Amino acid sequence: MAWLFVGPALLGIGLVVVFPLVYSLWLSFTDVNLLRSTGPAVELWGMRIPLFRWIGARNYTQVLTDPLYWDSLWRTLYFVGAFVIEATLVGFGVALVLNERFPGRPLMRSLLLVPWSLSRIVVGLLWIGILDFEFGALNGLLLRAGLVDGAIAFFKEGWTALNVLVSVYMWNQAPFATLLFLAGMQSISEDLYAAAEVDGAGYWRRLWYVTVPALRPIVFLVLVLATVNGFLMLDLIYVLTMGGPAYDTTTVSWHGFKTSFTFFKFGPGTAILYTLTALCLLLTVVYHKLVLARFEAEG
Amino acid sequence: MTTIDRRTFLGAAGLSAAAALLGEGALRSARADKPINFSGWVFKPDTVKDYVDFFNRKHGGQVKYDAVPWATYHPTMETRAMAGEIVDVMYCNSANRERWADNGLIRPLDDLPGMDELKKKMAPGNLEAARSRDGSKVVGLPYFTSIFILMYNEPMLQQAGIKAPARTWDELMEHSAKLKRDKISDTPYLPNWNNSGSGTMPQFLSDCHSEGANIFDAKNKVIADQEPGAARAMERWQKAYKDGLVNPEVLTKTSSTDTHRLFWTGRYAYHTNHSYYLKTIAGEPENSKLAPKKARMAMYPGNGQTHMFTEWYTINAKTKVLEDAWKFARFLGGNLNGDWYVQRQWCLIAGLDNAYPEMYDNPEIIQSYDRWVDLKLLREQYKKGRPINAFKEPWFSEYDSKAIAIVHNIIRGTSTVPKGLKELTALQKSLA
Amino acid sequence: MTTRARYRGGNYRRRSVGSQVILYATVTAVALWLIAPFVWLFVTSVSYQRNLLARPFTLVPPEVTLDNYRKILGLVRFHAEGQAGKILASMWNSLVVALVVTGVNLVMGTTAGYAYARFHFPLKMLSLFALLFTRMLPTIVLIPAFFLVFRALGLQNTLTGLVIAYCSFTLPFTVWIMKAYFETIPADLDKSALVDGCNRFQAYWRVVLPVSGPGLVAGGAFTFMLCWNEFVVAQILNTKPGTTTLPPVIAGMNGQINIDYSVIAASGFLGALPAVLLVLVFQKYMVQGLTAGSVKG
Repeated sequence: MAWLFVGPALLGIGLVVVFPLVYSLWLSFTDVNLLRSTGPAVELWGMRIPLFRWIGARNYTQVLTDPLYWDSLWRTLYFVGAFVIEATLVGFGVALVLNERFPGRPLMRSLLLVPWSLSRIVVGLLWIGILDFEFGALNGLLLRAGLVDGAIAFFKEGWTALNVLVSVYMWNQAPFATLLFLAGMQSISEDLYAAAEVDGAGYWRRLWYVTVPALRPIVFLVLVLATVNGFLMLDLIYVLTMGGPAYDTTTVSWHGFKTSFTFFKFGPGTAILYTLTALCLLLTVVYHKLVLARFEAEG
Repeated sequence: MTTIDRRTFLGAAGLSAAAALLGEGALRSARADKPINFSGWVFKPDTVKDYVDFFNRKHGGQVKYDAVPWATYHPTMETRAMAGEIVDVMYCNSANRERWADNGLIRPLDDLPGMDELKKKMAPGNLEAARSRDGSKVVGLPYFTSIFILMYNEPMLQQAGIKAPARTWDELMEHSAKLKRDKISDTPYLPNWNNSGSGTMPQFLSDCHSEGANIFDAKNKVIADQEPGAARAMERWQKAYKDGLVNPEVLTKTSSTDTHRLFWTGRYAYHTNHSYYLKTIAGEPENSKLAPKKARMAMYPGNGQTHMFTEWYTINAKTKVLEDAWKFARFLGGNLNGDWYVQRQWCLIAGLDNAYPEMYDNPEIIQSYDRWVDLKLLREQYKKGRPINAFKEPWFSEYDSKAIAIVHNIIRGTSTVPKGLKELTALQKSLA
Repeated sequence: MTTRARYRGGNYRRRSVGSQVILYATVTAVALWLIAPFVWLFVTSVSYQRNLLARPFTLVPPEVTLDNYRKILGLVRFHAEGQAGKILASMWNSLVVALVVTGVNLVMGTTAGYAYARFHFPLKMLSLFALLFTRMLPTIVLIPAFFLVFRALGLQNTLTGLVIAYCSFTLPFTVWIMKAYFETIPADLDKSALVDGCNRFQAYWRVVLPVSGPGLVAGGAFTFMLCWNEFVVAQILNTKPGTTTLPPVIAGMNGQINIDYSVIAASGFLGALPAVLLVLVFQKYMVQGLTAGSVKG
């Protein structure tokens, strides 16, 4: 009976996720030449799926011996780390503010969803309007206020560019963290605060001893979601930096994207992307252990 | 070989059986219903649209034009080909042409009617460039030829008391340093270091050539690390960047068009870019503060040599409308009607350098160039334009694309000059 | 739930003037941070490029114009009308794809979500874990496979292809959200329906679904938003002119060509509106649904 309900969705997911996933894994062990696309193929439900030539782990050795891969990986780890910290802290901070009582609070909570509901292409676009060297509003304001002598080139240095990417992505994603934190704050029992206040605890002590411990599961959740999102981010790089200057904003996902879809080397490209997939699998296990198991246990 | 082999043509169209059954008239009308798909990267798409309309009206064509952003043009076209879409006539830049020909994306043109005549009209250097690596076949008709030139902002130099534009690179650096010191310009020099295929690498080759350096040897292997001229050019770039003479944003621009628009503002003194951009800079007062003719051209510093290359119109190897596609390609890249319509339009409207020398005998064209450039000087610069042969190597497009990051690292000082030049050599080795 | 304390955590007693000032200052700062960039996008979209470039800079544009929108809508001829003219067509493509994917997700995902919430069956935990994993999967790793398979099937450059590809990252999400939502509905409701003689499917269809509006809205709106905003898949799989969705068209206009930023801003603003409005209208349900979906696992 249950399978009648679950079946269609699982079958669908099998077709659109598991099958491509397996086929991509296969591709990462072959010598794909897309332009010519000759070689063995398998007939499956009337379609001819090319198999290309099996070359063992050569794509992986090629990719893993390329210093560019490791540079991108370290850069990705920095990006993810910085993004996770920023998104969590800002998300939490904004949640604290929105948890206060003030006129217009419902409106503010609606506004919260605006950055999050934008396509990352638009997110990149609107930040160009703010950060651009020639016509950016921020540069305009700073110049006008006399705070800088010349316009700031935000994408000039790799380091600055990478951090600008982190912050722009954070602007897009932190509101979702805020949403989760707010939900958590709403479900903390009022009695705890009352008791703390009776004990003479001020705002910050209540925050530290009541709010933060109660939100711990949500903190875990936010951390894991942000980590995965950090690893996968691609579209903002496309609009804002294209991985540059030089390779300074090239992350593993961008490296895999370029290799696959600019140079059309699907073999090495899928190999790069598969290392990313492995990382995500690892994170899923962590997520499962830390969050899911806890809630399942509570029932 | 001046006419299409009919059998080949019909076979290619997959219609020989239909032809036998229905006779020629039916075939012709069936063919007339087939549109010609035409794609190019974005450069004055309005102009392209106008002459496509003109062709459709005047020659009863059914050309469907589509413009693709420059930065992603070649990967996009490859994707489209792999997806099974047949774009009959395509732009192709020099860096990617051999890759396309090699992989059977585009077809040779030698067997098509009228090709021999066009070969005779082309400047020898351009004809040489039009041939495939083994020299056996012509695989493209010229869209335009590009040379890098030096442009300067005359009022700004005058304001600074600089009488003549720089003749040497040292002078250019001195002028820039002075302009910055005197607070006349924040970033006096605007080299075309943009992130796309039309920026950093052509600029790199131009400056290396002007220093007398060879980047490729006779076998097209990269030897940048053995050339003192290349090292000199790179030391200079590093210094210009470090001293803040260059607007660093240029490294993240995604096209030469975008880059040259910075020069419109009049905030820069020197600019190096493809010659035709001087036309909008010095000839379009509605856009540029340096028009009319406040920006001028000077001979390239050093020995005056710059990088020269030609971009192409190519025909899809799988086209099903070969006859019409060829007619359209000749309209674009040749002389379909005896009036060089499109070639002439590009000279008049965009100031593109042309692969057919007789264009420069045309009084209308001479007059038009005179409005924005010293045509004599431009033709002199053209003579000093130096093509490379390496673009015909199958690894070239990937090399050309990946080299940008290495050169950017040199510019920004994140890599030393010798190390960076060695990396270029190593990159080529890893791809060959 | 006590009536006294609908509000938790902060200073719910009367605040001092000083802390009032700090609070309002912070609230203003947060509001600006959230909304000012988007508002500025709108401002640039009704400005002329020359005024954006002008220094000294002004926050209020000296001239307001709808020209940029006219250009996109094809009412004014300009040099890049070919590029701008793709905006509307691609918006239509985006709409079709997003609606169809949302429909598919609501039918298949909801049913599966219900089963996960109510049934115990073999492989339940394993398949749940697999779902969780697919939720965290980099979609881009699937694209090379889609690319080759769609080529074999002739699905590249079709909206059907995009619908299929989009299900790969939306369906697991929907199942998850709906599972969480159904868990908030008392199981007694189905039980009484079963006692009244309904079979499982009737209980689900006639009794549970009708009270699941908020969950369906949350799942549907979220799916729609994901599809409407998706960029990479459409950019790679649908390259033929006229077959792609809005984000690749905007990205294609961005910064590469002789198109004024103000025109691109107009297309960005126009393209952002549907998702923003949808989310604002359904925000209450979405917040409930999403937080339930995330917090409860």
